[in-house]
Amino acid sequence: MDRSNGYEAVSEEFLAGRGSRSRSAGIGVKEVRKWARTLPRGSSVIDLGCGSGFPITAVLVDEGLHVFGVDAAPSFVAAFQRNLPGTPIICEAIQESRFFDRTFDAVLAWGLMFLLKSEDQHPLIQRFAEIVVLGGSLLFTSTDQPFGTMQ
Amino acid sequence: MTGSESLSRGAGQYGKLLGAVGISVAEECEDEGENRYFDAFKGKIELRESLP
Repeated sequence: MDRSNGYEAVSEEFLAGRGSRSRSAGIGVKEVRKWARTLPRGSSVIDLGCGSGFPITAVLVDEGLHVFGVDAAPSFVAAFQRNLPGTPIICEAIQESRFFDRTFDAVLAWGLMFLLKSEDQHPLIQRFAEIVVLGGSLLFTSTDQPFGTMQ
Repeated sequence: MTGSESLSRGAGQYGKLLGAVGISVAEECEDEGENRYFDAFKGKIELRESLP
């Protein structure tokens, strides 16, 4: 059963596009870099739905943060390990992940939330609160107006 | 690309859900891809204001 919201099936196309090093200046890079620079160097950050590590996770690494990744697509995890060797990553569905069984100074979920079903979004927000330390940061994307098939 | 439909609650509802679990939204902005993003933190606004 695919737990990657369809990304594993299109991984080759994705990895050649946004997930490639050549797209390191893609959408979100500027915003994530700005956020990353508000965090003390060495802060622990978990990137949920990190994909290949490009372009977003690489920004966190560049900014001197202690980065962890989670992605459900095996092809993306393999690419991440090639792109950012030494950066911990687990291949788990976000909905079921144990998030390394630890807390973090910051949580990033860029381009993730609106891929999840309605019933998975609320529990994930609860998990945000559980895995980030008091005073810790959270950055995530949604869209401005409700749409899709949600009730 | 995946053929999956995007599912968004909209900015206001996310703010309420975050507040219910003790997360405060410091800033809401939009990136060049017209994605709304939330810069938030765990705790009350006063907590962040007290940090160096």
